[in-house]
Amino acid sequence: MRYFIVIFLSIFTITSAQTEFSLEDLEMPESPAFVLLDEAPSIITRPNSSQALALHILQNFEGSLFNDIAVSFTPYWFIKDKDKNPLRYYGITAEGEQNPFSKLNKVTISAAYNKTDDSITNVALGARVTLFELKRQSDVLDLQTAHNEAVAYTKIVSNLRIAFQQESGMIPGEDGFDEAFAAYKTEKLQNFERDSITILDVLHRKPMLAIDAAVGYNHRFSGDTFNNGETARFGAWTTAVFSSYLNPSASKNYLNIYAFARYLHDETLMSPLLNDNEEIESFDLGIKAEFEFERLTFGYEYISRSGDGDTYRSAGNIGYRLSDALYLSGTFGNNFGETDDLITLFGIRWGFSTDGQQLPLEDTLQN
Amino acid sequence: MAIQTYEVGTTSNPIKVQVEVGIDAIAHTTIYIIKGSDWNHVVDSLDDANGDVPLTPISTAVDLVGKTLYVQITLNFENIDPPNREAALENMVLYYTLTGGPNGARAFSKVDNTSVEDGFEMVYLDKRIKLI
Repeated sequence: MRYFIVIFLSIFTITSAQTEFSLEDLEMPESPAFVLLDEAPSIITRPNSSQALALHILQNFEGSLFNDIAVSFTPYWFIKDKDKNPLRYYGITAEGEQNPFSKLNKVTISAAYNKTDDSITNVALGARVTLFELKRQSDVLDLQTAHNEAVAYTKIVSNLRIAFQQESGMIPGEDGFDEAFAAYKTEKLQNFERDSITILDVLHRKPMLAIDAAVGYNHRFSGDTFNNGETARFGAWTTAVFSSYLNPSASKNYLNIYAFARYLHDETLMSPLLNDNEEIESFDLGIKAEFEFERLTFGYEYISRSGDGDTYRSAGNIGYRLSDALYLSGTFGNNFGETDDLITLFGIRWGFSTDGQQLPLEDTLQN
Repeated sequence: MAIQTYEVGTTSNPIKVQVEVGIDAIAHTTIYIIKGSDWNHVVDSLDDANGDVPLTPISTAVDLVGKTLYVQITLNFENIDPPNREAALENMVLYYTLTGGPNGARAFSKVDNTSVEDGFEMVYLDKRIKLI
């Protein structure tokens, strides 16, 4: 079964890779709903980008297919706002001043479904937002340069399209216009060169300092019976990350240092001091060090849990991007608790595209 | 979609145009008055890349009657992650407003044509308004 799934996903990945899409520079998002359930490969993490809509799948080889699914979306992308503009989106002004709170309006909401081997179904809701983000001044300058160049290029293309209409007499919308203009544009711009640094290159760089906050709520149902539903977990947590370039000339290589704090109200944990299903209040404090290279990421996280039951999580993570379409990750260590606390995770991420729209599909295989 | 009209009348009143764009993509707006094969440039958007054109006089009503106002908006999505581009376009805010005619100001929000380049990097929005 295990090999069947891997082969299936590999075939799917290779097939998908032949379509035009790119996941480069997009990390595997960790749904807050999965983090609350301690199902994410890494609990201490933060994504560098928010996607309008994404699907996350965690697959437990011991159970049936698609036992753990989460969907997340960012309402920002679906809200009409007359004041939206590129500089506001980047969080900088034309003069290069930063607004460290520019991502407060990009809340990501997620919902997760998880079914355990003992017929407990978990439904979780989560939300995450970046409270504060500080870019390096050198990155702000690069962003200004790339933006100004893109603005100039846009004006050039706009003028070309006007000139094409004047020369050809064609009207936008008539048959053959788009194809004819595409050929005209290609011919006119064949010797036009642009700088290699793009806006997305800069936007995907890790900020020097970022602080995220997240909340999650988990309701669980036992025995596949709706009336057996009960509150399982509620959590609120914050993650701070400081990122430093390992080599300034290769800006995709970082040392990331994370700090993590979480409040957890849990009605599912076993405690040596309490009876099963009694309420547990706990506080998690964690740190993580991570080396991030262009394709390879590895790190170690330690989380200490105090409160009604002292325990810890100690895990190493490794990830490797085989291609733009295929990302592998692994986790090994000790999860919270004293029994069944061994974590060995193997993860795969792949994406697909339809009609020119590019939508990543996240998948993690858990063993 | 049939071309929309705006009544300018035949007075010497100044007719003005305004374009408001709300989107995270880089936007450039250019406005022309067209009659036959004659294209007269009116105004471009400001250089701040948001595509807005502040309320700008075009000409007098009597000079404009019978001509066509053409607004081309060029959107460059290279600053937005590909998975988010379509949602950004679908939820953009766009108003074309004309003032100075006998019936006052009128706002238009529908475009005549949307052209999307391969890869969703460039998108062109075209709007023609017949001035009567």
